[in-house]
Amino acid sequence: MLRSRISTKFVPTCGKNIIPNKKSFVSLSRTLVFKNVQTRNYAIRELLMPALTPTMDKGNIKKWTAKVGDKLTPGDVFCQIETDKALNDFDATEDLYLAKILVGDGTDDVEVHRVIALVADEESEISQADSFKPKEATKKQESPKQEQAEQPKSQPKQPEAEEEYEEYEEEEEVASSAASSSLPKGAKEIQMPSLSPTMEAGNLIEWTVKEGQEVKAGDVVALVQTDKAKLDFEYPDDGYIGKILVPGGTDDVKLGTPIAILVQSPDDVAALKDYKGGEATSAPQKKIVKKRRLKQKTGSESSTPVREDVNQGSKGGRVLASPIAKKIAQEKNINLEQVTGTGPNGRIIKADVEEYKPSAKQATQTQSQPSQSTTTEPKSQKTSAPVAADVSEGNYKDIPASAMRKVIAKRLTESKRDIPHYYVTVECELDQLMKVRAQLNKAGEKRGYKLSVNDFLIKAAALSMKKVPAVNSSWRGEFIREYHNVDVSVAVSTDNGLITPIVTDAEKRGLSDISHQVKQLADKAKQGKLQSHEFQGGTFTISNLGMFGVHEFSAIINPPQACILAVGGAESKVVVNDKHDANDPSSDKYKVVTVMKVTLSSDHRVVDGAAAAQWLQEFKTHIENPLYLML
Amino acid sequence: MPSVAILLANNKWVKPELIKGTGKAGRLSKGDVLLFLKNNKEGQTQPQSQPQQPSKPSKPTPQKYTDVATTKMRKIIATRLLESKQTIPHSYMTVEACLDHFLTNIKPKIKVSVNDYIIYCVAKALEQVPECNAVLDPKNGSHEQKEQIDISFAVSTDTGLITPIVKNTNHLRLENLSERVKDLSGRARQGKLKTDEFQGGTFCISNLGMFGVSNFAAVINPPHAVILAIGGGIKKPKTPNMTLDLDDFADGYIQNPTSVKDIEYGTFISITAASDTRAVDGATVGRFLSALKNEISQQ
Repeated sequence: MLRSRISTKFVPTCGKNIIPNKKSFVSLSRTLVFKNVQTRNYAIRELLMPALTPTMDKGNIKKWTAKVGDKLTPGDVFCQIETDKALNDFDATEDLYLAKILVGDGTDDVEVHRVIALVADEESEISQADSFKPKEATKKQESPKQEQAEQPKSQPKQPEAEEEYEEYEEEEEVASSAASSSLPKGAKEIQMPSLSPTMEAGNLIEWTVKEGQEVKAGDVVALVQTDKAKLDFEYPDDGYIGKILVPGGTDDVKLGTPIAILVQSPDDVAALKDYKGGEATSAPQKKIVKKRRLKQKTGSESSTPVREDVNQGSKGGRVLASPIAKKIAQEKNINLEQVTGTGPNGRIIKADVEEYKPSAKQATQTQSQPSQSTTTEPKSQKTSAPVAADVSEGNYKDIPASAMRKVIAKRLTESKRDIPHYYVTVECELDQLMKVRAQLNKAGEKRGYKLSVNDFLIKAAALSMKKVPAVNSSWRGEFIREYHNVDVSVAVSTDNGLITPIVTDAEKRGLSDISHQVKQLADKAKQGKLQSHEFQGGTFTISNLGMFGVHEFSAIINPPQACILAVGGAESKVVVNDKHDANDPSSDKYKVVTVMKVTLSSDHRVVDGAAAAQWLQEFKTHIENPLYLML
Repeated sequence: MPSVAILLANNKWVKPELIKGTGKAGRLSKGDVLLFLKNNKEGQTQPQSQPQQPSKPSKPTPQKYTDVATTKMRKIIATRLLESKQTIPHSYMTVEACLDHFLTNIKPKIKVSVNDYIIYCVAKALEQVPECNAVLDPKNGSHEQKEQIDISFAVSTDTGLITPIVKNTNHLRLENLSERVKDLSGRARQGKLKTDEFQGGTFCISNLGMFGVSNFAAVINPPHAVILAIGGGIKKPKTPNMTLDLDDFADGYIQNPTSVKDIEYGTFISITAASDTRAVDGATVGRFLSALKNEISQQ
């Protein structure tokens, strides 16, 4: 169910531009490139933000491991992307050169399918990247309609895309001019870093370095107050502090905001003396000129209609703003062109400027990263305002929902709403299993394994599928998919939330193999290092809360699976001795056994009560007669 | 198309360009993809856009699953049960009832099953708490208490689940009821039930005791207000003089602590009622379960 939903969302239905997963991203760009042949720049292709997990709709670009000009072969990593679940490598799938990075390190919430870089087929073509015109990008962004529909937008779809397009041209010119005129070669921005997972802005308390000072990778350059604590900001690169853009003592600096420029040689420091970020310099005027020229060009080159609109008008030459708004904007160093006016004729009034919060992306984008504005700008103005603050007020504390929590929330709500759950419980005696486990583990001291009860449960569950394959299935509407292999997702609780690494082909693995696998995956999960294929696509889930002394519980099915097994804790219990002989005074009426309750939640559309009960009977048989696990 | 996308995804993204679309404007239909896949079995599936895959060793894929077309019956079950869980506020309540009376006093005399006996007792309990014998009137969305007691019981067949109805259950003697149940479930398995023999009913029972299930919670079968889920018989110590009031019980326990070796044991079954909270409230279901427990255990 979930899978199909995602597919429809991520796969544009127009033409052949299918964007299935990261593997075909580059090939998608290729189809785009061919269309560009008629224009120019045919050697340059766009690299899109990949969907690394089915639930991902945006991600954070942590760090580019490839540099502009680098040659990449399949398997080489472009950059590290943090998804809602883990930190992933985004790797190349064919030979190419990285021509230009459009979305830099440390940029958060980059939408899937946004252009993050340009790539070239030949080394000689890299230089063309600067003049590359992403014509197709705008059209494509329109095509996944659902995606757009999800985003609250005040303007009609068509004009907005147009506007983005034009802005793109504009920013690009500015960036290249700024880069050529002000920034020496090799100069880099130092951006406000993310020092805690929930951090959105920080107070730059003080700089521990001065302009012109040399820094080595790992040196502390500044002291930053996050939402949690005062932390040292260690910069991961060598260089010289060329220019400090945000002085010490500045509060509420958004993530990704450039706070200083790092240069490669001390000579470049002087060159930066008069450099002031992107906004305050003479750039805006240049921007306007360039932009108009481009607008005409696009008009003649393609059929792109030039949009006339109040807001757009304000972007052209004169910015309509009240004097007080202009004054505040100047004081706060706000670029009025980015403020949406709410006054008559889109005039910017005092309140607009006061309410305006430049998001991290906007701040960065005006300086050096042109294409970032393409999708984020209209939204970020709205989203940046009502962020749940981590402050205590009254008798409660608002904790912002992390990306992972949101995904969990969404998926589980969907599951309970769309899957008719029902629950069947059996009690299993564990005494035999504990004996076998102790024996095996004694041998394991020498052989290097230590089995947990959970490993037995995984094995027993996998083997029980042979008898009742319905439990290892998935409801797909027109058909039911019965899996041949049993990939058991094991629910692991991490600091950020729940994650379910997968023991693949559990029915074929031995106990020590399963045990090893689970340990490895759980460690990775806790460190947030799971690769997407390691936690996606299981066919059945086991969730164990026994270690918390839980008697029994019922779990929520992990779509598109059909069943989940909820395992309670092992308990000692007095039961009736079935071998009790009433006539024999020496025989005991009762005995003490160790038992465990397991509850199977099933999708009633796939698994009927009798099937669930038979599966549990089989599972119980395997647990109570652990020798069967050898079969 | 979504189905096409899924198919493509599951086949390691066969290049869509290679497939001939037969839909509108050359659009790919599911059939096109399936046909293509059939003609290009594993291996021949066209070298996937040159050096694409090597980064992750893809497992050898002898088809990892079988897709079984959903039968009409499964679709009906799916629709009805999903609708039930989406629209009915389910509330669950569990009691345990002692089967010893049945095992010692009834079973040796008449040849009936535990299941027959439970249906019989449920009918008696419904006479005492008729509020639970209610069905939803789809026209006005309200629940109507029925005078006639028609108990359905779930039977699992090869094709799926069906619930034959024992009409006027409370007017039948246990022996007759047993025969009726045998006849209905036999014909249900052969698919020979008449429509009025499985549609309707005023109350439902699902029994998974024969599979050794401890207890379970069932999905209400619309338009019923309650469904009972019966677990398997389990032998347990049976302390005498159990009272329903926790305080009385505690007091009694302190005054007459029972010596462990004197404790007798009995056979118990677990009964979980899933009820539509709009039709019956918790206290009513509690009264019903208590009446049922007494009927079964005859204590």
